[in-house]
Amino acid sequence: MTKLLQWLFGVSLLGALWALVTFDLLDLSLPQTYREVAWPMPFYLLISFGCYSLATVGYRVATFNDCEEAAKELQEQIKEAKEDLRRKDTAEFSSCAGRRSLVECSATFEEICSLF
Amino acid sequence: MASRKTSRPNRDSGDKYSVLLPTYNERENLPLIVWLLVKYFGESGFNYEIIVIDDGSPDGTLEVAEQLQKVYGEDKILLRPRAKKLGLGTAYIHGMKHASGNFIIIMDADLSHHPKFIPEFIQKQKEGDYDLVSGTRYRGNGGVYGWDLRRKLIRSLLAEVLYFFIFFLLFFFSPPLPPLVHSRGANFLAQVLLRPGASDLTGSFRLYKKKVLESLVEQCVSKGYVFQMEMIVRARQLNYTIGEVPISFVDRVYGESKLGGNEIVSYAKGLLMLFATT
Repeated sequence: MTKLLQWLFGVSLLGALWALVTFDLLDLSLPQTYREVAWPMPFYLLISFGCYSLATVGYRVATFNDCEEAAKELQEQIKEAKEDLRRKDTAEFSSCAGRRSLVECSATFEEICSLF
Repeated sequence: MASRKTSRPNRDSGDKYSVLLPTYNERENLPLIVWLLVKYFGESGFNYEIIVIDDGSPDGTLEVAEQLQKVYGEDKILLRPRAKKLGLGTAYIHGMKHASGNFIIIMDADLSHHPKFIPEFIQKQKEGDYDLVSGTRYRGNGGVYGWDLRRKLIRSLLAEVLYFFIFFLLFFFSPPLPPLVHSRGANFLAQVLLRPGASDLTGSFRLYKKKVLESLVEQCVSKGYVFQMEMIVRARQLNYTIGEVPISFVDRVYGESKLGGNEIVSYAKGLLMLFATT
């Protein structure tokens, strides 16, 4: 069963139940108060779901993890990586265009671009 | 490098992990991500290879990749370039063709996904023999760096509950909404409507069993933004097991992945398509 059918099934089940009580379809001669409570129920449900959502949203946004440390750690590792790559680079081959190291390639590229 | 191959605790398991790195103009980031991958795989001792799928980057990413290949060896860095920018799904298919690992790890090459989580992914996978392990920004210690309040509100999972509420209110009041709220809200709408059993639908830091990824990619028709979501929704539909690992997502390039009007429309189409077919 696709999600669409599941939803249609669920909604129509609830809808039928609601209609049953509100319009007294089976002639169960329910007390008038039942019908008065049932009639605006979908609207109440909607509003309470909305309030629940807003509260949860507020909470989750306020407590959303900012990961400052992850960013710092990454910055440090980038520095470390650049140094290490520079070392490896010069050790193993004379690199990019025969004179630049791996991490400086981008600079070379920008220089070339700026010529045009 | 290759000199420390002996007596690693995780070498003997017979498992091999192929990291697929689709790149486009990642000249500066590629050496760094590769360095980090080598570091963390080296420390944990798992058998691995890195497959760079460059889509004809004009900035010369491929040249950089070739140099990295010289540094780290052709058995560790594999190059599978393509002539021009094609879809993500085809990039995975293309990369997988030559992957020798029985597990595939996909991640972004822009350093927003940190390789330090890969050993955790692998551990998680082994724990429950999961078919796929997805990184999540919305659970446990997961999170995002570089988003302001507005962005957090829009991007965080439950902000999209707000959208769901607004979605209903639209029928009563029809207030005007910024498009980004719509687009990100649609993401949560997906959570509510599809119930995929994963908290981060659009994340792209994941580990798959190779044959699982193969069968998923075959069935997924979406492009761009919806693709990751379709992968995980279809995975659930096919009764694959999903594990989740909290990840920190460091958004260094602020303002990345802005969604235009066209993307929102295609997103909505993708969502409805998944809603009706899964």
